[in-house]
Amino acid sequence: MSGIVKHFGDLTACDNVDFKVEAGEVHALLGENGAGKTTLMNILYGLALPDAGEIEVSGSSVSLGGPGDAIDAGIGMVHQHPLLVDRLSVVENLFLGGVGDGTELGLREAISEVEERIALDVDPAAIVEDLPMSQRQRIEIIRCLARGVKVLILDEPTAVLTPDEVQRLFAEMERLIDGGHSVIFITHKLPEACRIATRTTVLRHGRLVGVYRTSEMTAEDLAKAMVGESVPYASNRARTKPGRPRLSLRGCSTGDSSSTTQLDNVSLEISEGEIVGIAGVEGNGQRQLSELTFGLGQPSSGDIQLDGMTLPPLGRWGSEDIQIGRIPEDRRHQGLTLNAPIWENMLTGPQAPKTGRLIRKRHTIDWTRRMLEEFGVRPPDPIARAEELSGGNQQKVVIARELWSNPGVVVAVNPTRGLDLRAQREIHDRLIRMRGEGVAILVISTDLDEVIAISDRIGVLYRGRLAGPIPAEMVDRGRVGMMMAGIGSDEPGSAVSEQVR
Amino acid sequence: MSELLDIFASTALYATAVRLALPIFFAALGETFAERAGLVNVGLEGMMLMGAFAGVVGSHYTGDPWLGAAIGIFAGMLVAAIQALVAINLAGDQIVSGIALNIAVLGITSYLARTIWEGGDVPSVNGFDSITMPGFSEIPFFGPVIFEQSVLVYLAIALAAVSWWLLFKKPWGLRLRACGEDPRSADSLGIPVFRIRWQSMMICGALAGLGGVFLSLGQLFTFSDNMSGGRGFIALAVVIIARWSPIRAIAAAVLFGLFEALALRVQVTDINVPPELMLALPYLVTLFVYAGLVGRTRPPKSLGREYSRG
Amino acid sequence: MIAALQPDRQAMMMTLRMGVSVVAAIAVSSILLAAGGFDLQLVYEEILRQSLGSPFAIKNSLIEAVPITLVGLGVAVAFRAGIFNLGGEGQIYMGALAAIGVALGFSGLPGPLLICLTLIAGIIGGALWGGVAGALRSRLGLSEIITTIMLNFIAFWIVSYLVRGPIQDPNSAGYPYTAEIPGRSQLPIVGDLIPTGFLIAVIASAVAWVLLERTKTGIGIKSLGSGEAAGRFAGFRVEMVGFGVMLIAGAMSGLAGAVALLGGGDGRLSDFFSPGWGFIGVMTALIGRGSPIGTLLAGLFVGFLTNGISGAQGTAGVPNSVAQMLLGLFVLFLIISNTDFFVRLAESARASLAGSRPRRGKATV
Repeated sequence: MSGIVKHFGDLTACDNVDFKVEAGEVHALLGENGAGKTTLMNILYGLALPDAGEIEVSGSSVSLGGPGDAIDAGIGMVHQHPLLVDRLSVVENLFLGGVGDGTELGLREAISEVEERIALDVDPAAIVEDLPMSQRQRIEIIRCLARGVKVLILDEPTAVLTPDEVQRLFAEMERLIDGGHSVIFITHKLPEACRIATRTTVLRHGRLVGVYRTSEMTAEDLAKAMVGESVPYASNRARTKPGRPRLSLRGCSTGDSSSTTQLDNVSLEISEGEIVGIAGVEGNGQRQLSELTFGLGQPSSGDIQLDGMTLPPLGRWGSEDIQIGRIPEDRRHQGLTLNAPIWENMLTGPQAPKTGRLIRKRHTIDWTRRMLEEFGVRPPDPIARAEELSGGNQQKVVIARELWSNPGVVVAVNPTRGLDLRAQREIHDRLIRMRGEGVAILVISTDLDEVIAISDRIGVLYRGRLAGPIPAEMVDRGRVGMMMAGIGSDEPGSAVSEQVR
Repeated sequence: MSELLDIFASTALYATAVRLALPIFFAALGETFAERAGLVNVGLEGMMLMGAFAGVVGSHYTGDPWLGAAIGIFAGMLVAAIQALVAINLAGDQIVSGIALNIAVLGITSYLARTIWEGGDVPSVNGFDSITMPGFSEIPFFGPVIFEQSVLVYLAIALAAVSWWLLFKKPWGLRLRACGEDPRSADSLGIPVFRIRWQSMMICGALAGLGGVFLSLGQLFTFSDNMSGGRGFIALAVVIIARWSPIRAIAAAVLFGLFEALALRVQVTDINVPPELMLALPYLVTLFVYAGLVGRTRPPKSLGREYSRG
Repeated sequence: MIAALQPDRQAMMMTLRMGVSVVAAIAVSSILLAAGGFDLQLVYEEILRQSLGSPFAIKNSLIEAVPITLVGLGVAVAFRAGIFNLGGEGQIYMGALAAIGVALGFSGLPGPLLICLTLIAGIIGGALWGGVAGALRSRLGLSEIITTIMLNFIAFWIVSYLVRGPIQDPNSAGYPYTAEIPGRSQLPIVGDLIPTGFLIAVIASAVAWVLLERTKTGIGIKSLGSGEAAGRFAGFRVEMVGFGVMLIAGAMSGLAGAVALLGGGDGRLSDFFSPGWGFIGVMTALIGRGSPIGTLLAGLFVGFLTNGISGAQGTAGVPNSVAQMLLGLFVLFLIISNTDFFVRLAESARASLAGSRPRRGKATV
């Protein structure tokens, strides 16, 4: 690919980017969120059309109008959340994906042929939505291979995998390049790039920074290239001694034991002046735990209390005075009404300032402007619609609304997902500062680095059970990784927590 | 009471029920294709009305009901093409455009009827008489109910079977359902989402047009303003009640037809029930059956959501 | 991917969309009218004269605008919460039914009191009917698009039965209508020009505007309309808001029925009482882009249009149905002009005039 340019409105996602993959290599595409990695690869996979630039495959220029064209050109893509039709079976998806010659027999032959290189390892009749992400990714890989794909794009596959699944994926990638395939591995995790890639291309703000031979680079060098200046990780400075407990869950379970993961007998206590981090791979009960603490659901058994009083569900009497700052995972759909102006967004939820019966618009707008300035939202324009802001600024609006009143308890779910490093730093610093002021903070995050960087105590959710939390000093990464995978016993939760103790 | 039993015992009731169910069934079958592909088509009513009108115009000018039917079907597809353009290519709001189409078609057909025929006095045109299948119509009960109907009844049964086969046994049907479940994934798998959604909408328009044709050329042999009279919306309910299955759609449509037939039958007996209240009954029954299905319906996942590439 | 337009550009875009849509709708209708052998100049002159040409014409246009606007306001409020109230027609009938019951049953009361009670009865009757659809949606999750249509037919046949039986005017010589409302319950016309009903519609628009723009409930309704997750997270009980919005929509339509009974027509309830105000009201709300002020303006436009066309029916022979044709096409063109495609088209046209790079963007209804 050479001279690729892509605009979205005023945003230039890719600015004259050159990119080249050779046969038989794992090529890491490294960059922060929003650096243009995914856009560049969507162009290579025909999901987006470039505004300028040229794509060549084996020396001849191609134009890719859709994924079909890309696959015909030997380019395939495996998405972090694989693009499969969830309610259809594995074979039906493979069939739709053009595997085989359109007959059932041909399909089976094509699958078994690929299985020599990579094991399907899943019931072909299983419905996709019942499968874990690692298996769904494998289905996409198999589909690409069966279609004769030579260049495989993996879009941040490891974010939704356990460390053990990551190891297996890396082994499979190595086998593929031994067989002459090329793998483009999109990531923003440096150690992974160093571990697996032959060469690494670094993007920053839509521009090409450089192409490096990974063996000649240290992780620090790559980090500098990626970020542009050295930004140290937020560190959890000077622990204060936690005070009295504020938010506590006692033996909380949710829902029935249906197919989706539910919380199973979770107990947890968060005290004044501490940050409790909950790690875990997505889909292991994070959503249920956050909904409980957000007041959006009630436990089917057990009790959730704020200062010794049962937390009333949102919308019931008494819930409007609850002082919990809530930072949801999905700022675009949960946290904000995108097509509403920011000042209206500042008036939703229990943390919003009290208004009389009628809203005083000018007054609210003035107040909103002050808040936006205080929380560093750019631009601090209260009548702009929320959708006009960048992701980081949208998140800051949510944080301004939830934290301006200094609530004594904060629950944050993936608070920095999708934000650039600077915005991440600001949010982490704010949480740590509030911790110092005696606020009780619960951070539920799928980003293990984030949890380790800011937490005083760390717990792990696996299949709805909570292991820990244990003091951060006692945690080592490898162990948490194993906890996230539920490794160590047949009976995950209880045994893992014992292992930790 | 015994008179009511008499009504239920008469085969004429069921024959009428089937006849009244047919237009609704055709439209519902079309809508099943559209919704399985992820398109909500509230404009069904307008497509039926346009089909009914164009069918009469066609039959009037050609004198041939078959040509009239073809023109009616084509007219239904024409309306569907507008809906497809807005819903698929322009990613506009499907429900709003459906409502707008209904009103526009209502206005256009009434206006054109008045322009073509002075004062809107639409004459009687050649339609489809019932065809008696020799031998079969002798069978007790089923004979008169099924085999003494206009040709379109046979067509309906055949179409339901063919649709089921297409949707659930053919790769094309699998692709179509994938578009309704998850168009983004379908696109990524290499399925031409736009083309398949267009196909489903065209089928929907053709079948809704056919339903309208049956209304005008199969039953009344003429056109009157707003003669679809909400049947398009009932067909929408039928699709849900039938849980997006072409076969079950027959039963759901006949259920509605049965109560409409009952309302007509009761009027010609001595039973002292106000006919107006009897005429409200089919709608009430539809509402109750719909409410009774709560929690048991599972629509295609991306139903009604527009799709466009980023 | 959404590149927002600046506020002044948004306003410009909106005006452009309205203009383009109305011109396109009139163009298509004109082609059809010309094909039907009508003298276009005569037709449009007559429509203007019959809707605006005299104080009498203006008064009648305003009377025509009232039920349309009121139904439209209810539709608009529900629309902002993401709910389609297609049940205006049934709610009008149920509102008018309750209203005629009070107007005839308490005919001895003094005029102002009787009028108030009758209007309240209309509001309650409509709200009950809207509430049924709201409850079916909130409690059972039934699509209001289907339930409201079914309820329209049920309400229509109930009224049809009643006006042919229990509440038929004994002196009607068999015609299916009720007795006339007492003269003192008729809504007065202010200065022989402004019907009281129109003032009621203006007040209702103001109330709806305050609700949507100046209360937290309004913010909740709007956040619900752009996806349930935000409303739920903010602590709004989504089901309750959905139900409440249908109550409001029904109340507005019921009020429309009562006002139409007291302030226009022949003061009787019949089964041809509403000439399709329910759906015309939906069109009105869509033209008004779901905003109360927009709906009031759209209601005026639609009122003048329909009154003009029905007047022109007598003088220029234009069928009434032309109004439906025009409105349907208008809304259809509005949707088309609201898509990315149109925005891009307009932007690139603007850009080529200004000589700058085209931008992408998506406007909202």
